[in-house]
Amino acid sequence: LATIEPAIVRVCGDVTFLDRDRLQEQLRPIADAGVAIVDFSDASYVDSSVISQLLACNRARLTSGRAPLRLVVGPGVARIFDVAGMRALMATFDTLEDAARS
Amino acid sequence: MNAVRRAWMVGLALLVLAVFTGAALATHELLASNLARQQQLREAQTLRAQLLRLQLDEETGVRGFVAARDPVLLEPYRSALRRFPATQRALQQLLAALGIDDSRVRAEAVLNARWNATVALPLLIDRQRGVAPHLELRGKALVDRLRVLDAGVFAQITQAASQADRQATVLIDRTLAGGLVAGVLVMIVVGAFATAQLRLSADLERQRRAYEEEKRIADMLQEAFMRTSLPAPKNLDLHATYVPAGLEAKVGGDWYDAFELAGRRILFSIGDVAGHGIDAAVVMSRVRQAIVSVGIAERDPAAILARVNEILLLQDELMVTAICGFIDVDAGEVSYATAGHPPMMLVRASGNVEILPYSGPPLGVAAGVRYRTFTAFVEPGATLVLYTDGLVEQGRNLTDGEARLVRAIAAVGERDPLDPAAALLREVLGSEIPVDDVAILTVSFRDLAKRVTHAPVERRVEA
Repeated sequence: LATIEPAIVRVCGDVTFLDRDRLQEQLRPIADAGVAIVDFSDASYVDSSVISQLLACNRARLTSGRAPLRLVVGPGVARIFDVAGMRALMATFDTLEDAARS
Repeated sequence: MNAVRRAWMVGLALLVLAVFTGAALATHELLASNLARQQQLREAQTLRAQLLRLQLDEETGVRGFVAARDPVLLEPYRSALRRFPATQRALQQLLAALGIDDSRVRAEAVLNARWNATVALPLLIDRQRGVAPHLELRGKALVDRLRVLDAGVFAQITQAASQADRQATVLIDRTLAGGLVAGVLVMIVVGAFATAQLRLSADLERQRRAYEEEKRIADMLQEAFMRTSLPAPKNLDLHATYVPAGLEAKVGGDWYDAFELAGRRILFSIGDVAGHGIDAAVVMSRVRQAIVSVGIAERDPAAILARVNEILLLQDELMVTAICGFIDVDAGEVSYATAGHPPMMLVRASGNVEILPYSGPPLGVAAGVRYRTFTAFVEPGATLVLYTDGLVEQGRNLTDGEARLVRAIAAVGERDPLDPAAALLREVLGSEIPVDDVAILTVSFRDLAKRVTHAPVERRVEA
């Protein structure tokens, strides 16, 4: 899904620094997409390395003049994203449809 | 060896195995067929010899009868006469099945019939004792021709047998050569696998050593950077603890810090550098120093974080979460700002546990970020609890982790330990090995007369 518009990456289950290479591989293509969505609807936990990778991806997009990442925030990660201040830097949505429509 | 190369090698090995298995099966079929043909050729030789013997038995029987006129002596003739047609047909069919020309056998049958009709029968009918020379001559001539035909059939069968033998030899040689090639290929594949495994083991060992070395250095840096003594102003108790992750790869990056400034003010900070190892430990040191450097001149925590953010963006790629602030000891005023860090908790003198407000993204991820300064007024008997995410994300559920921490803070508050930070660590983690670094800093506003006795109630306060 990362090669068509809007580019979407779905993140599921627990994702930690042990998965950083795989996540990086998935995030790389969406850095250049016009509209990029990372869907955390089915994610149950992410650690700070995931936050860091998302913010780095977002920073790369902003630096190249693209729109911020759109995050679909599921219940499993809502509190983590809230504490990490993600809402201040990226557009967050409750559903993938909302993120795609916006 | 990467997964793709390994898959190719396994595929190649399977292909080689399939090819050689197919070849071995085909060769087995050919060899079995060849052996069956050789058996048929041996049977053909036997039948050929029987056919000649039957002709000779017929001739011997007739010769004996003619000489002695004793009917008993005719028995070999009769027996051979009965068996000759069946033997001849069996040989003829077998030669046809073997693809060998059977015209000579047919000719033998014709000669045998002619011998019987023109030689045997006249001799048997003739009642005169003795030999009829003209018949004997004819008989000999016919039998000689039959012998010549038999020799031809013998040569045909022998030639076919030699050919089958040569084919068998070729097949056996080919099988041996194929087996040799397969063995060599299997040895090559096994050797390649073994080499790859050895290389992988060596790489893993190298990585393990590098890992251990990095952990050792990171631990040293972490220990060197971690503040061992905390300020002890009157009416304020600061305690801290740090425990590295049980998992080596996660070690490094957490810190706590506190300095006493002029005017009984305490500059404090706690934070966590995303990433681990030496890089994280070095960045942690830089951020701590930057907070202290900026904090000496700047009184607004939000401005401190904003300035540190700009510094970090110039230097590093790593993300840092942090809280920094000032404590006015005499006024009981805590001003602070947060950058993507788990919020502080405040145990009121009443025993209520509050999660203090927070806002702002982590440091080092975006330029021009504006942070917000919050202010909390803290009464004597209250305790501030600052911590890093390892304390609340042990179970991989932040909401549950925070609830667990609130309960632990209340329980520790009731016991009033000498070192609340260490007691809190024990209360939350128990005997669990932390999966991430954990740093805890507690600031207790001294008032021995007012100790916590109430049940904890979690609520949020506005700054």
